[in-house]
Amino acid sequence: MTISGWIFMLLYWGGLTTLLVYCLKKKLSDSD
Amino acid sequence: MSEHKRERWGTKLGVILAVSGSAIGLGNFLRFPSQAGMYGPGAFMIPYLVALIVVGVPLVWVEWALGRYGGQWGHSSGPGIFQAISPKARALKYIGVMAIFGPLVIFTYYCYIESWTLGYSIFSVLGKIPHVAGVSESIKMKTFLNQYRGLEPGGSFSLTYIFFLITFIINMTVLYFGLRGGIEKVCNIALPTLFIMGIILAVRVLTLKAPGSADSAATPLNGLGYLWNQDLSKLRNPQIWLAAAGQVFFTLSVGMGVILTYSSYLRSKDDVVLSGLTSAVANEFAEVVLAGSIIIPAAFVFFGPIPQKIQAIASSGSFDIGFVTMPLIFQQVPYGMFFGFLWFFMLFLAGITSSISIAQPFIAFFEDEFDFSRRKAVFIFAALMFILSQPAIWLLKYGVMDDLDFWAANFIIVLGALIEIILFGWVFGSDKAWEELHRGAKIKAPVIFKFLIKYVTPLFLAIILGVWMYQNWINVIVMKTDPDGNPLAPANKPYILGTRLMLLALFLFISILVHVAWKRHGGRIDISEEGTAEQEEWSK
Repeated sequence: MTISGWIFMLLYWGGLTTLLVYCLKKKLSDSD
Repeated sequence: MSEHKRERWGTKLGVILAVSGSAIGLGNFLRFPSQAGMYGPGAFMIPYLVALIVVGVPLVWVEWALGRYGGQWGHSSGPGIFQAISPKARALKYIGVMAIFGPLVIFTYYCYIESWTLGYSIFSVLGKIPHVAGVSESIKMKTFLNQYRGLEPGGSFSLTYIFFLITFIINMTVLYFGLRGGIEKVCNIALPTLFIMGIILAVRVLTLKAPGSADSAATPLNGLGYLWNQDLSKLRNPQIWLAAAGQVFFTLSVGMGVILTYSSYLRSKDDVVLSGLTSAVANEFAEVVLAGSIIIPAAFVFFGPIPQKIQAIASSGSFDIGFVTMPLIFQQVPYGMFFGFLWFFMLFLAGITSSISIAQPFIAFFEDEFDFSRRKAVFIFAALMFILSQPAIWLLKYGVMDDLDFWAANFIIVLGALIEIILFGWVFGSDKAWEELHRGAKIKAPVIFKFLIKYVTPLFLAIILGVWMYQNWINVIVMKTDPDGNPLAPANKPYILGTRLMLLALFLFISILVHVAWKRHGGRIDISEEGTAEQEEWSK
């Protein structure tokens, strides 16, 4: 895998994971 | 008129898991790798990301907002929700029939495919999947799959049918227990289990070592490179952009009416921006991170680091990838029976959380518009679906399932999504729509999405619809070719014609039911909890 491939993949995976954790945390803190 | 008691979700997380469960289906694990691999290395992910932002997320927000809005009027299915957007445009409720018809038709074959995953997961545990010496013996596995589906002699089709019956009964039982007691409970357990299984499989694949004689470049990381390295020259190919948009579209379950129905059970001040985004991101995680780390890297290790080979596997279609390629690979690794079981049972969980969701619009239609009890609505659905599922099972070799899939999972949902976004951005009005989207919102959507919803996404969808219609669909509609673009065999034509007559009759039947329901209640349902205030405000 090329370096740009690594960067793209890690940004994509990292972005998705961060967003998922953020959304779930915000949702759970508000959950009834 | 009697006061209608609406079902509600048990928890705010419950609806997110249910919508995510609906979106995370067989397509995430089978269709995505097929599409991502088909166009060669480094081609797919950039168009896919762009399509996710331009088409996927706006459509998800539109459906969540439309569904919640319709729910305030006591409607949980397409006809009532579409009518609520513009009560004076009486034809809208008939256009909304598509949002019941599409999922209903998908259910007629989806439940059967789901039953294959249950059958194969049990076969994996019992060691009933034929053993092959190497991945080159794929023909044995293909023959087994064809025998299982009754396409070749030699298998035990009665067993296949028993697995279908078991799957069908499981689905109906979950539906019988209702939104909170059935769907929500199942998704609360199935979704986390599915994620754990997916993570175990991805870790297993990413730590695979190639067989002794293999090329040293045959590593799972290079397999990931097939997906993630960028070949910018390929971005000039419009087909890849269309395929990426199509995949985003199918994976998020937009356009078919399921999100409309699920979000209609929210309360009027419940958030939809954060909920919609969470469900979309959970679906993307399952697709890009988990599914993207399983099939292509595994194929790279066992079939060799040759792009043409990976493209050939990807082009063999979703069923061959799932039921031929993956069992072949798992037989080459230690504890292959266990990993084979994990793979097929994960697909089964993905399948069931989706199939129960596509059943709900029809059931909700009877509950809301005819005031039927849950039990009665599920019974009608079960009886109808059992009958309508038979053609896809018994006439598979005549292309009936492909034709059903073409109409319901391609034509109707692209058209449905285009209509939805036009209704929301233009008929409802973009300012009012933006305000509706943000009522009770826990986060604010970037304002650029207002522009996307009004102009860019509808244009993008219109282009997709136009190009697909011109390139392929028109030939399918006039029965020149099958949905794969191959000439339609003359022997299949009577069966395809019969299928279409059945679909036409079904569409007319639902339209008549809508007509009767509106004669009965005039489009207004009094609900016991809330919504009346909004209805009165509208009536002024």
